[in-house]
Amino acid sequence: MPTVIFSGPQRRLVNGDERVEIEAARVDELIRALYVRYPDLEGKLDCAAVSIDGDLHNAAKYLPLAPDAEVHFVGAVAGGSGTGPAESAS
Amino acid sequence: MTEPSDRKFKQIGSRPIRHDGLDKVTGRARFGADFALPGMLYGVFARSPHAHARILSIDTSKAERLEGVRAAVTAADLPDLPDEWMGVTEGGTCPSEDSQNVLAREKVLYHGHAVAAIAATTFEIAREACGLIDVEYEVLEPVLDLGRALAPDAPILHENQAPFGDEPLPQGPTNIARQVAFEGGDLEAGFARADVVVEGTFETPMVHQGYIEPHACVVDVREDGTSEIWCATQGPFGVKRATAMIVGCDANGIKVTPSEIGGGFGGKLSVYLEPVAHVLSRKSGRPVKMQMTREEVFRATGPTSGARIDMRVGAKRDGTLVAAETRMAYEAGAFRGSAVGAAAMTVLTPYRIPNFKILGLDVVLNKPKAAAYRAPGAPIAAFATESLMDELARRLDRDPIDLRLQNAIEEGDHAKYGPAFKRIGLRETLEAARAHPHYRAPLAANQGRGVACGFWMNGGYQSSATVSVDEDGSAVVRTGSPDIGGSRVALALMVAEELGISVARVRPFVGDTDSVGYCDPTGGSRVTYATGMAVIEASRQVIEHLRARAATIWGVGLDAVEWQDGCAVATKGAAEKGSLPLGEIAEQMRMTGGPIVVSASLSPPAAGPAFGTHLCDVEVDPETGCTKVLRYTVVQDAGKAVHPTYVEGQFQGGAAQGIGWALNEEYLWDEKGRVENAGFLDYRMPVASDLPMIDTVIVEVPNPLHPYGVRGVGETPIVPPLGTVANAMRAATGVRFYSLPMSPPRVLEALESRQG
Amino acid sequence: MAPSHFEAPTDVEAAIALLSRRPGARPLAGGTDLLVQLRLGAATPDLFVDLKRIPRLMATSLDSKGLTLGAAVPAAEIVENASIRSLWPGLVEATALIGSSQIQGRATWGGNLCNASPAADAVPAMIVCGAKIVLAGPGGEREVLIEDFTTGPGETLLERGELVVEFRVPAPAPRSADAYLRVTPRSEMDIAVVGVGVQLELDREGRVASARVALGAVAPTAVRADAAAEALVGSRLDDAALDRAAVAASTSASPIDDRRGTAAYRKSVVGVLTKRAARIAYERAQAR
Repeated sequence: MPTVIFSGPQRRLVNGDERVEIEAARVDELIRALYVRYPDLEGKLDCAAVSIDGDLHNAAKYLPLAPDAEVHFVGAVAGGSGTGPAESAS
Repeated sequence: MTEPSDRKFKQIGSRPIRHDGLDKVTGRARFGADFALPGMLYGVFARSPHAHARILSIDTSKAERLEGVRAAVTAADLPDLPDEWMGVTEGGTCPSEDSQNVLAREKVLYHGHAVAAIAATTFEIAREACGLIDVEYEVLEPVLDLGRALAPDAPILHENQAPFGDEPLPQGPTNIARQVAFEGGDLEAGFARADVVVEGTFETPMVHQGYIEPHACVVDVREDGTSEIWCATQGPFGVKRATAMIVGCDANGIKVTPSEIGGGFGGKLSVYLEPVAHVLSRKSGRPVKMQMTREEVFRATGPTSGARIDMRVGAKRDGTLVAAETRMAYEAGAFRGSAVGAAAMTVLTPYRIPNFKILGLDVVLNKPKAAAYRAPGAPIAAFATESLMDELARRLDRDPIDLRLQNAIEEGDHAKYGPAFKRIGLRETLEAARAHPHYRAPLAANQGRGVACGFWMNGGYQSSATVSVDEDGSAVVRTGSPDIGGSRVALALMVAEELGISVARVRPFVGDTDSVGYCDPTGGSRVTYATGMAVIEASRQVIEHLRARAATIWGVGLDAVEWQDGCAVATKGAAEKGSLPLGEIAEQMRMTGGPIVVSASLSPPAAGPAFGTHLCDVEVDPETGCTKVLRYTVVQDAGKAVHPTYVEGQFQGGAAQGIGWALNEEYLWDEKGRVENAGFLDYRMPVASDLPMIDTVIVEVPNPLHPYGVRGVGETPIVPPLGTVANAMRAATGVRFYSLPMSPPRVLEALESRQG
Repeated sequence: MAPSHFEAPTDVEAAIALLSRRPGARPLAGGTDLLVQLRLGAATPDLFVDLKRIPRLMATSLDSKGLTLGAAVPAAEIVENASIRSLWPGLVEATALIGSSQIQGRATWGGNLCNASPAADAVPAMIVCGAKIVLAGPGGEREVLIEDFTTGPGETLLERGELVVEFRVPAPAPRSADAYLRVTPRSEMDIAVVGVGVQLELDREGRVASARVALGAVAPTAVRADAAAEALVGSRLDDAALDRAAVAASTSASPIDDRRGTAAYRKSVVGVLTKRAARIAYERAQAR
């Protein structure tokens, strides 16, 4: 099963869990399952970048997850502001 | 698309002259302000003389009566947009605030904030008309520094806005817009194990990207509401989307053509002019040109944040880092959205630190809204980290490179924001710096050497590319990625490498939004990586077509045709057919199926992270406080340098900007929040004679995500210089500088207080 | 915004007539200050009187008595003139510091002086060389010492209709030489935070027989620092004399805090530059 590892501040929303194994074949399934398991997390991962085995994806929703995938949700991929949604950095 | 990193390249890694070079050196290149249309009007902004005030009324009637004035615009002409943070992954945006930054609504929030604009038959008339606009203000106390912004009784810029982000969030009225936090391990237990703790409060002022070309555009709105925009931008598709959103029209009706760009560094991701010119053009029925003065660029376009960083780092006596804690407050300017998120991601990441706590605050105050600036947020964060690493090396009597090597992250280590790294090159850059003759060169009195590291994530995002073959056997590569650092020749080299033709026979083209597939903006050091991957993919598909055409010509099966060095080569029993060069296949395209045109597009993960290590020697005049940079060396992992000259150029450019930031650049404000140095005379970026020839070492640790191993290179080089120069100053003077810039008066004051 | 009139007279009399006609008339030499002020709205002339077609203002003449140089001669011509460079190295150093190569092709001594900035690089250097200017106006011509010409920031002795025609720099005495130093955060393309000119004349024994010191950017105008100069007289530039001169220079400075530097910084550095410029002038004088 894919393993999700929570960062420090995220742990406040997941009963202090550091990691959790969740059955999911895709990222969107994984997020839905996490929201069911941790109601405080609801909505918080919708906009996060998703790291799957070290690769950081900005558009991960439909990406497949290998059974041994290690997943992180990163909420702060802010490269400074620009107008419009797709800007990252200089 | 990954392939062995030991591939022998024929053209990748060579240094051909860039295709746009001749036009750039002869002055023929057309930049933002070079475009004109018949019947064009000129648009000029009226700007706020106050840093913080409520707008009671705006009356443009006198201005509109002036002979030659054709249209006026205020925020009343723009639609109401949602006042909520649209949390897309890349940091987000607030539509209402984007609109308010273009034209102020209820309040002006910085000196120079646009309140209205006029279009007239000449710039002079438009300027005169702006002087006739009556704006009634209720002046409010300006919030000009982080201390005041965070004080309990501070005036609140956005009364109805609640902070968001990582909890616990502040309660009640606050100028904190957002919090970002990362934690790991057990901080107090970590510090309890530390034998040495170093700490400091680091401050840096707001600085500007300093691109040479001021923002400029021409907008022509037709009677049916569709329009064309010509402008200098890093992201033509972003201009299209943002303009449509702010003026409230259909994005599909807007075509944006990017000009050559005279520097952007992140500052040309935002829109300032285009929506306003759009409304003026719609109202007047004429094309409208808008072009900022240098003063407007400084007052009202994207600086990067000033910041205050509190940090402490603990280590064992043997140099092993055990704990680190930092609180970083970043100035967002008038509207939320500083780069504190990226700062939090990068600040401690180069080193293994098992116990850490990182808190970032995005703080609004009455200064221009911060925009992206080359590795946004990271240079300031690295200034703090690398200064304390230097201090730690001194306390432990360790070589600063050895101490960093002992703690450097490697493949498999986790970034402070979570994920484990794949193959990265921090260690390699440190070793290359240690082996460089610069590191052992002798130093004289009043001279000192500094070393520092830096890291940037590098972006992925969406890219498209189209590669086509012409009848004469040449090729064209079309993308929507404006070229801000030599990317056109890099992309052409990829086509040349794949097809096996000369790079001079490949014409790279940056298209308008109607003629090329979608590309996210040029930013995040992503173009050579992501757009490059699309180019390679399209080129490989072109080869498949060429093989099929050769098979048709020869009357053999496709499996009997290989592609080698620009030729179709017959094999498998058809070997007697010999080979067909690309040119001959191209000549016969119309008889073998017509033109060969292939597009490819993708949305790859973020590029491999790039690390750098810099060395700097300075000499400080102890009687005047003047600093001379004697020698500077940039060592950076490029993954694979496609065009080494432009990789080196990026290294040198980033270092030059960082040196300026360290030594002399700063916005100066008077007590009312007015910018006192809105020009290059008193905003002191370095000139050529302030810098030595910046030496470069390209380290190549291939990025496993890219077929050639490319990492982005544009941003990382500006991350280490602030710390590198400060550490060199420490070595030269014995004084640790916690505040930038280290300008002569500040240095002399520090030296005198040391002696006293 | 833009001035409505532009005239380019070919003799001094015509220029005086034009300048007398309108109160808003401004002489235009290189324009490197004036055009910037115009764009910023800081100057609003209604008539430009271009001086560059007046032969006398574009002339250079050097003889045993010294240099006569037209007020509109561009800096590049001065800097590239080997004779001027060898006779007044400090004055040429100061001139070479004005702007970039492109600016040097336009900027003039006349403009640098008449702009009346306390930070003008050429002015302290002119003062220590004992330079004078010739003013011409409706009432005729008069000769004025450089140090008397500027009366405050942006203010000069020029009366309506009057213009600076030429500079007269007396030939340096035997065993004398000048030097100019300034401090700027940037190495070039910057405005002096402090500038110091020094001219020394030595006796046959190598003692300072006479001295002039002038300071820039530390008072409302460039100023002579006679106490600093006197501290050097009679010495062979030993440390004690230099220290006295530095203290005197610092004492005679009355700088302000502004965006280019603090008053305290200027007070401190003006002494340092006085010493350093004196050492350079001394070495040059010894070599003559």
